Amino acid sequence: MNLGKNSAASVTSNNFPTGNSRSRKELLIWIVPALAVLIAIGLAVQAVLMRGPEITIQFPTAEGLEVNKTKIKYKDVEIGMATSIALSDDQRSVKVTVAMAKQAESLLVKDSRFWIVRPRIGAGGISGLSTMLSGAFISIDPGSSHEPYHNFIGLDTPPLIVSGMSGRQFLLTADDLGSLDIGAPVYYRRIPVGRVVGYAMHPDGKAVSVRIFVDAPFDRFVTTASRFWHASGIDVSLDSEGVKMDIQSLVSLAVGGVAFTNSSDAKDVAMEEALAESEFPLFNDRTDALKVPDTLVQKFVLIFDESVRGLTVGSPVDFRGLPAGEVSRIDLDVRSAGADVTMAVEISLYPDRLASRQRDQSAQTQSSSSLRQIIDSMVVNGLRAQLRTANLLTGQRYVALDFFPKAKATQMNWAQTIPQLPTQAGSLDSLQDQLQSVVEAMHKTLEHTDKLVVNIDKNVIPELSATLIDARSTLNQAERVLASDSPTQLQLRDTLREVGRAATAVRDLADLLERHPQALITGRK
Amino acid sequence: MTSRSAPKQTLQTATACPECDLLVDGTTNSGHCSRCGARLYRQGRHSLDNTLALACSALVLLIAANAFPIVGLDIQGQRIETTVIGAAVSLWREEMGMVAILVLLSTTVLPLIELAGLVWMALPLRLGKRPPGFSWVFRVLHMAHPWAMIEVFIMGLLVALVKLTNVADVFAGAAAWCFGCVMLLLAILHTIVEPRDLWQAWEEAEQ
Amino acid sequence: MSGLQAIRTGTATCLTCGMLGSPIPRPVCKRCGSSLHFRKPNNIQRTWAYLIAAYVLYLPANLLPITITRSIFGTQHDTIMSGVVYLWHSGSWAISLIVFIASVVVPLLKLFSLTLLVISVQRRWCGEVMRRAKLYRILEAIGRWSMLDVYVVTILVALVRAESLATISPGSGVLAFAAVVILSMLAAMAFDPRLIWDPLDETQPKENVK
Repeated sequence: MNLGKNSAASVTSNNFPTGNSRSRKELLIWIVPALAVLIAIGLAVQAVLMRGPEITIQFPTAEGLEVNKTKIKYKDVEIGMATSIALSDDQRSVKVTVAMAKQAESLLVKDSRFWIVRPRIGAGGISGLSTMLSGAFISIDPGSSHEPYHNFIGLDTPPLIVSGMSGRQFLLTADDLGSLDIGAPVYYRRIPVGRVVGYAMHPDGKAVSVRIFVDAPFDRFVTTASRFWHASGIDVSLDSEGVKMDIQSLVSLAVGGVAFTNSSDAKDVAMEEALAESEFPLFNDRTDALKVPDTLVQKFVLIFDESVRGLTVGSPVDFRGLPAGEVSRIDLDVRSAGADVTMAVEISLYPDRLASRQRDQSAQTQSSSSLRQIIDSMVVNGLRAQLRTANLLTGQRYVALDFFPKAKATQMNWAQTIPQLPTQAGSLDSLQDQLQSVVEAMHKTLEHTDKLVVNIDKNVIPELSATLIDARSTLNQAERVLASDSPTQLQLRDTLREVGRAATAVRDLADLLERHPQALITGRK
Repeated sequence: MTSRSAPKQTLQTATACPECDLLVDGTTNSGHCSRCGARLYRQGRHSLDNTLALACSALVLLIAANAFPIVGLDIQGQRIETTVIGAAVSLWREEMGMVAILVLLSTTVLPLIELAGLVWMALPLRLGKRPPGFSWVFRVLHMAHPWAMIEVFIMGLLVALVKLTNVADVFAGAAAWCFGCVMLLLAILHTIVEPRDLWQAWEEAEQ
Repeated sequence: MSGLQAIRTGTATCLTCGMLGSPIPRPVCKRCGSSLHFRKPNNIQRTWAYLIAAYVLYLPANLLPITITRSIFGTQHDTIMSGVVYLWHSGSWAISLIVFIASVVVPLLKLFSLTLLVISVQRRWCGEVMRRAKLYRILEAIGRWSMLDVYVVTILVALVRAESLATISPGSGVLAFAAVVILSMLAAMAFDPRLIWDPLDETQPKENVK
């Protein structure tokens, strides 16, 4: 077979007719690749244009995050997607690279915050449940700065205040945090109007500063005269006034809370709205908070000759039922070379509390000299301090200031640094005294009983024994009579036999008469 | 197009039918074997220009089609998209490595090789030069051709989308259209490329 | 129906570039460098090998699940047939038919037809030559469409991965099925259709002895 090459004309399009003009039809085909290139470039350009900035966010953990699936959402609009998740350089956190949409560029400023939204159960409530179905996502709180920024550090937990939430922040200073936690509610008139957003220890370690956020429009109720107190849990107090229970709400029972109010006794204090970031003290309970700050304090010392058990620092000082002050110190007072030991109780009196009851409208403030005059006159009239039991159950005591007309006359010595108020010993009202009298009564009863017993022993007993002897002899006689072989018995038996015979005869007669009634007349046959 | 064109293309050289081994000489008029009807030669205008143009377009579109997502799904607000390569990677991740390789080869790699090979051959020939490694490229293309199954892939894509419309919103990405175009272009290319012509051109090109 | 076969003249046609050449002394096409043989080497054995392997894997391909759907409603295993049934029930009859034909009918038909062809060639059957030739052509053309289901699974797995709602993962049936398709394609490629025509020419007087 001939395998020679064919020298016939080739079938390629390399042979062109002479002339340099190409057929136009041939050039048409090149539209196709041109189009293809255009399309490809168009797609590429579109992709590049639509690509927004790329940022990195550092999170403590990547839990719930997935490459090319986890989205960034702002106001529920998807504005970005996580493109890579890797350990940070120091391997202590996770660096997430996020491709943001173009229109989100303006949100990426220095103080923007990012956090991961996952199902969360916390003091503030349960949130983020929808992420159980849709997967966790990253949320953004845009900041207000104007400096663009691209490397962020994400928050561990969602922020409690998001920019755009209107309200004001305030700082409360407390001795301790109590049972407060982030998210604990702030109440006004028992309505939650805000929440605790943070706390920190003072640098000197002597106090805790709690930051709260009060939502608008309630933030205008926080005035310069507002009082804040711990409203955590149940406030149960058992004191000289009795048992008191106070709760704000069930939430505050669990997570604690802070409450505030504006009512105060000083009605003339201007009620202006407090500025944001104002500082307030945080009291331990409502009573503490509402105590009018006493401007005047007068200290006195009381000497008691009895046990002061039941009295503590802080025990109330009472003037005829009105709270007048409190015990501030209890000491041992050793005098005269150790033989005589008495108790020295220092009290703080707040004369304002007494003064407010005066109908005197002219003098608003009591100067110490006029105070002394009043006290002098009262002492002359018999004002004394006495220890009284407030509560039988707990044995708590309090100091009572009262008038004792029969008291020994004495005078105030104002020369001492802490003047001494005269005291009065306790009355028989005391439980101990009562018990004492009861014991004495019992004692007397015992004596009487004793005498009774002696009497019985001496007189009654001999007579009784004589009676017994007589009784015994009577019994013996009776016994003799009733013995089975005694003549009485024999006679009795004979009689009985006779009676029996008679009865039989009568019976026979009865039978006969029954059968032969005429036998009564005709006789027996 | 030749300057002295016969009414119909002829084989120009003798050959044997690949299906029945019948000896056929160069003067056969039709492109088919007279005994068994197998196609010996593609009729029609075989233009290197066209070949080159279409192959270039298809190549560009194929690369573009693999760079963008081909199809996406929206379930309950969750949007999931995938590129063809991404789909193969998903299979790989699910411990189906062999199938993943198969899918990747048949939808991306082999068509790419086919198109690139065509361009490699057609461009120098168009300029009258012999492409380097021509016979090697030719053999590779011949081996790759039966395994490039883009049209089956498109069909499979459609079936999958139909299955998914019941449960979610499906949407086709830009790449889907590109892939469709590639499929069309490849189909056209296979009608206009005749291996013997290429060899002919090769023989007539400069060394 | 007979004619002069190239093998009689000691030549063979290169299946790659179409040039007639001689495999003696070297079985290499002079023009394109691919291997040149009178008939595809070991064609009967290779065809049988691929066919048997395909038969063996056909059962697992249809019995094992090709997709595993995990959702909050539970886990569901789907085989090829159950996928067809699902499409039918959900109203996409045309698609259901297409998948059925492509994934169930075609592979089976292909395997049976090829078996038939190989046996007929082995027994040197002389009848129905044209039909057999056409059958082979059809088989070569449609073989690749059985890969349909593999691509369907690929897309499903790649798209449905919303962890909380539903995830689809490929089952081992996909691997078996892909293997069946590949093996049947290889079997068709290994089969030399010229063998169908050989018995015809053997009855002819020889011109050249091989």
